[in-house]
Amino acid sequence: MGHRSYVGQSPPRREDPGLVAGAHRYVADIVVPGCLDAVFVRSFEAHGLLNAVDLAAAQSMEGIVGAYSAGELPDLPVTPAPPRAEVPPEMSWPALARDRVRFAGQPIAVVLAADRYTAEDGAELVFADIDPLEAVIDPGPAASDEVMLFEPRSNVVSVREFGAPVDDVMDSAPVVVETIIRNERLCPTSIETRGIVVVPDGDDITVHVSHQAPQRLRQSLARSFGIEAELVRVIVPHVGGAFGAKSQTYPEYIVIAHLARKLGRPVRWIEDRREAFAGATHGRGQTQRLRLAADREGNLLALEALVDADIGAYPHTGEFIAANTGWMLSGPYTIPHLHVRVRAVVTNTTPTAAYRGAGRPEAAYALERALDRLAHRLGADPAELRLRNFIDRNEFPYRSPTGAVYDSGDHAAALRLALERAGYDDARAEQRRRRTTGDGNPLGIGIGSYIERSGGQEGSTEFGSVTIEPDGTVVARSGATPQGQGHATAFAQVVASALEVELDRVSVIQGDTDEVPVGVGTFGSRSMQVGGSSLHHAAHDALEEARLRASAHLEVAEADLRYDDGRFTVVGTDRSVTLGQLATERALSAQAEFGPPQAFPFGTYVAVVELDRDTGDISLEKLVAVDDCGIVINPKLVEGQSVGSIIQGIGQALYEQVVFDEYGQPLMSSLMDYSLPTVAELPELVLDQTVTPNPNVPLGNKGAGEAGCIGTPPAIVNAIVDALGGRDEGIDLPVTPEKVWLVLSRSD
Amino acid sequence: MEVLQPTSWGEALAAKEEHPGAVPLAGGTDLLVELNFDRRRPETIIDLTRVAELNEWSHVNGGVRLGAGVDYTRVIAELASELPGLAIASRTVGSPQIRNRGTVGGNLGTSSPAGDALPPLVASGARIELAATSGTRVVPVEEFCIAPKRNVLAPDELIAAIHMPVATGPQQFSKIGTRNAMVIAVASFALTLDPPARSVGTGIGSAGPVPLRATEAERFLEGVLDEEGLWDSRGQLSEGAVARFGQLASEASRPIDDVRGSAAYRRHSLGVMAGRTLAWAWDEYRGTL
Ligand SMILES: Cc1cc2nc3c(=O)[nH]c(=O)nc-3n(C[C@H](O)[C@H](O)[C@H](O)COP(=O)(O)OP(=O)(O)OC[C@H]3O[C@@H](n4cnc5c(N)ncnc54)[C@H](O)[C@@H]3O)c2cc1C
Repeated sequence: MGHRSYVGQSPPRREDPGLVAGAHRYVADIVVPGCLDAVFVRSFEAHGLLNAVDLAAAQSMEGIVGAYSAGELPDLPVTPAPPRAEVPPEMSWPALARDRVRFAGQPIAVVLAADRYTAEDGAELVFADIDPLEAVIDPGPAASDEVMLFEPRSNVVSVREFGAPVDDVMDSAPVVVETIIRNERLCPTSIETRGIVVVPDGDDITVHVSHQAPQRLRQSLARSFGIEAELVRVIVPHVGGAFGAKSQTYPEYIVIAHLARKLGRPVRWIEDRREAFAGATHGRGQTQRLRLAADREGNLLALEALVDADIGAYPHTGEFIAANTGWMLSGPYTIPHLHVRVRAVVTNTTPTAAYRGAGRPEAAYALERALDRLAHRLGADPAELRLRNFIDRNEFPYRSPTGAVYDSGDHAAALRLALERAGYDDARAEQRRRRTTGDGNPLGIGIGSYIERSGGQEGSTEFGSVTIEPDGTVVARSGATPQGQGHATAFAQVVASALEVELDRVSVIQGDTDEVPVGVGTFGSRSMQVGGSSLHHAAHDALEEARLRASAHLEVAEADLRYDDGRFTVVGTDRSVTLGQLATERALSAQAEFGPPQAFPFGTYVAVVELDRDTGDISLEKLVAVDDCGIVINPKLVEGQSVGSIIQGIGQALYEQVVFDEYGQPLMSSLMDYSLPTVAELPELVLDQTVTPNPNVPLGNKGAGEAGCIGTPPAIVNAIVDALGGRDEGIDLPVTPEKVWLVLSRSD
Repeated sequence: MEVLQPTSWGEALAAKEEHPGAVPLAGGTDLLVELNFDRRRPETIIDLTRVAELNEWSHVNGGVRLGAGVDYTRVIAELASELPGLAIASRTVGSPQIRNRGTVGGNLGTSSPAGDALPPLVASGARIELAATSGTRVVPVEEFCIAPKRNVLAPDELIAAIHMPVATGPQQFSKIGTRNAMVIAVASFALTLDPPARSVGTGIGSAGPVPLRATEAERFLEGVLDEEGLWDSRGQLSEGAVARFGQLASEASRPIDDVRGSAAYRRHSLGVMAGRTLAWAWDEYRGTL
């Protein structure tokens, strides 16, 4: 029998039977006897002095076990900032507001009762005395420090620069296009909101939580409470979506853990949708000024980008997400001179953090819009302009002007395939026909080429171990923790392939720090690239150990052993030993913590739109997505990632936007106000791929989780602007029929 | 909170008389949202879903008497030929789950200017039957809503039914929103053509404090159809007439700016929808559809 490999196959997802049967258990389904329910009282002001919190009525209400504000909990730790964020201590995020509130929705107090209903009623009796202060919502004005959040400290938390000023190139360049782009705030909106249950047992705590990075949360909680990490067990049950917003330690988690420890009783908090809009983190939120210089042939000469990132009221994950934008701003192009300045600015709004794409969609959108402006100015075909400036496939590994080292790529191939699948030439011909005859609605074709960055922080590792059990089954453990992606299926494929055993023999354990004490987590499209590679290495090491043992056991040289389907046989005999037998006397296990370099998946998206001349209605006729994420381990899972991510990209392009009024009040509090795309908004989707293997990992794969929401928005908006004949004034994200109509009506 | 569950119309009216502050519950698709968001906290709720009489429709005096508790799914399935305008509007409400629960009576009870059932009722001259233990009165739908989320219901009254004439000609409805489905209207427009009576009815949604009628547009179109003999000839309507109709409909609106759309866009899109619904309806009348 030949070599067994499951790479490139799509076995049924192991996750699906439970999903279909409704058998999966989420945090809110966990029943812990005697558990208290917590309800948070949140600030109704976006900015103000918190004079007093009156808890008396709540505390004396029947059924209320406790009501606390920061004043009652003097040793309540602050919300720990993620290690990479630059957070000055005076700007740290209190777990419950002290003296000052800085965004509407900020937790001020917490009320505990045996059930949620009672706790909600108690929370209503808490009275917060707040003197409102002027609020600042926009990062531009906030950066001028007229209204300060942390006086005397500037609202500008950090300034990161890439490259050096390019004014001289701009001054002498034949063509310079300028654009100001607002990349609006979005709500990550996973179906399952946040949730946590903390069960104390002496000094130990067990934390059930909907999370992307349990090991990291464990470390962070241990550090916050000054206890050994061994005392903290974090268990992540099934997770109903996360999209980056469940990778951190939130103020609510600190409060719940603190109260559980203090009272010696289990406490839980399950977020409702309204809290998820105001109190959980948002994504994106940048104002960008771009200048792009080129010669008359369209060769790019220089790029300048001044980015103001609105990171909300407290610097947290959002602080370094903005740096990702700077890091990725040169995209897949050769740009000789580049200057990017990213300011992270606090405002009186919900703090920002990662949201699928985390900094890359902001970069790709800005650059691709600027390129289309340039194409329009030069009268050039936008596809030609991109082909002219792509990094040549022979130049990889390529060091970008921001310092990123792109592992591999063939951007032109992806673009050409996307044009072909979109019927680009025919669509252009039809567009010309409509323009000359004047019949039919305006048609537009838009391109979005992108470069992703997968793997998470440079050099970050993931833990993987492979244990062979005496019965011949195999247990794989990974620090990567799924939120619905299908890790258990794909990781089993990797391990079964490396061990050349049947897929069903391999089980996968994740998301419990007792089982997997070390690990990093699932975000940044890293699980298969980093975690999958570690499992591959661990499986190979386990197999080598088994080979050593087999040779000793069978008393022959390794070269005389043949390995097949979990069994070593002495060549030419029927003497053999199985993996299971080799694991009987001594545990047979290997582990790896592999940290490959970041990878740079890429691709091109093409959108075709038709505009309703009278109403401005946008009909997305077709979206072609060509992605290159290297070797694909499980095509079905990658397709699922693409489709989901594309839908989120459509949401950003056409529907989604978090809006605050001038006083900092969120104007979205339900899914009726915050428009997510539904299945009725889906266009004809054409998915295709090119394959440029990742040279830095054993299986040649790259991340595949975020491309869709990076490539989609620029493709769609470029198509709309194309349909409008290049007029893009007021065509901001999300592009609504009204914005389109305004452009159409101005020209008529 | 007390929940009363009358099983007959008489019991329901008695309960409402006894508890004038009580809030009736039909499909609950508006009320439960309000309760969830703590916008209302009534002492008493009267659950009307067990009152069989409310869930029926019948023919009365040549028209349809639609019980206030009939849901959208049934309007679509059972009344598409008799009340086509309302059926088209019903298809645009929420999602299948919402249409299975939501009722026309509830849409009236909420009296939101964005209620999708209301413009077709206005366009067809619907009359609302209100009942109390002391008796019954019937008010034209335009008089029923008096301000956003306010109507003429007295504390002891319930909505019993909606009376509508059976369609004698084409009816249309068009809605513009921020996405294709599950959406609150940014603006909507309903049109009823009544060839035997030679009359035109209109209804404007989401562009004023209450659902509105575009009276001038109606009179204009009736004039054109009469003068040019088009009701009989079924001839083509001029583009100019369609455009003028749209313009008058647009001018009849009294929209505001909000997060979903600006007043200017609402006014403009109403004109477009009025023109388009007229073109569709007229094509249908001419038998060319
Ligand atoms: C997800 C979602 C989507 C929606 N989409 C749409 C949409 O697209 N278009 C639209 O128009 N609406 C929409 N709605 C709103 C709602 O579904 C409609 O307004 C529906 O018609 C309400 O009917 P109901 O039977 O559920 O009313 P309920 O919620 O039961 O009642 C609504 C109001 O009417 C009162 N009431 C009910 N029956 C009577 C009666 N017999 N006498 C006196 N008062 C009464 C109630 O007291 C309450 O004030 C949506 C709601 C949701 C939750």
